[in-house]
Amino acid sequence: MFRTIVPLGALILAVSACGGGSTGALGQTQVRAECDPGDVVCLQSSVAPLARGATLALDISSLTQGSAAVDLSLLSADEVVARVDGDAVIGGEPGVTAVLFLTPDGIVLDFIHLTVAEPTALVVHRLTDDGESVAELEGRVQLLVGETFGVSAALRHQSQDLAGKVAISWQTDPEIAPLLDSGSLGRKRILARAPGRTVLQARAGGLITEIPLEVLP
Amino acid sequence: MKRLIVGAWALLAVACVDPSLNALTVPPLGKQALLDSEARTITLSRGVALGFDCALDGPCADASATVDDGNLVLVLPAYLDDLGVNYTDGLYAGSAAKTGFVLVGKVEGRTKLRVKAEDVEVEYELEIVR
Repeated sequence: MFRTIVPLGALILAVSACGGGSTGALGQTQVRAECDPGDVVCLQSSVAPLARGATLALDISSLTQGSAAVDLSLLSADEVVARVDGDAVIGGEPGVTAVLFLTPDGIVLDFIHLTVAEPTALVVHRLTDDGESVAELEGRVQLLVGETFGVSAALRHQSQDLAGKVAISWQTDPEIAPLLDSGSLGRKRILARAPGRTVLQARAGGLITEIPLEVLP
Repeated sequence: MKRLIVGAWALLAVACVDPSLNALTVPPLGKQALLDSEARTITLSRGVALGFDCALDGPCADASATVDDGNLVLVLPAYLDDLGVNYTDGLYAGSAAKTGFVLVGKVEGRTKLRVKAEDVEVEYELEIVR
């Protein structure tokens, strides 16, 4: 078992813009998956299953009455399923494990049960200019020279979106449509540079998704 | 008849001096976290946590919980943001913060949970299942 100290006060200040979340089993905390506004996992009403190999930062707010925030440490009941790293948990073998929130003197404030699932699909989403995910890309994308196009990717188990961040590897033909960093893990911008055809390839968790791209003059 | 009444009082007296454990949480879907106060057994799936409180004429005072085999299961004290009513000789005697613990199933097997309050100990058979 692995323990790490999480400053709860800092976590409360870091409440993400997305709503929902899960209440702890003892009803004494509110737990959300920390994510960027517009991330697909933010649309979940509760903490979604964690993808194997993905990292999920937990945003924990205390619901106890009359008590100020305290530093909490996380403790995973089954490190084979999920291990703790700072204020985050990392998905291991598919299964269920309790994640306990402990005070510095080892008292349990609350806990949640987290499910880890094997990703079965990698879906690529189109982003708006302000970074919101608007649609899942399924067919060919056509761009005019000079246009840019934001994309992100998320892992799924069957039809369920999975939580957690993973390293995503992106590829296109840089002569036709180079990929630009967007400053956010898992997001890229495609620049339509020269007329031609290429393929946008996303790789993560052993899965590959390809989207045909065509740049028109 | 007189013996029956005395026996009933004796039973009540015994019932009142043992700490009573009550489950506070439910297991996730498809897993087990079952605390049977009458049979004094607990069944818990591996990787699952179970919160429970302890009462002895009100919230247990000076309570501690231990397990015989710490490799199979972990038991930790819990903070409960709730008050319970205290009774002395069956009469209201104010309130106090509830006393609770959390069990965490680690490895499949059988062991015992011992909860002690005010020098009275209660013992539960504990089984960790898959």
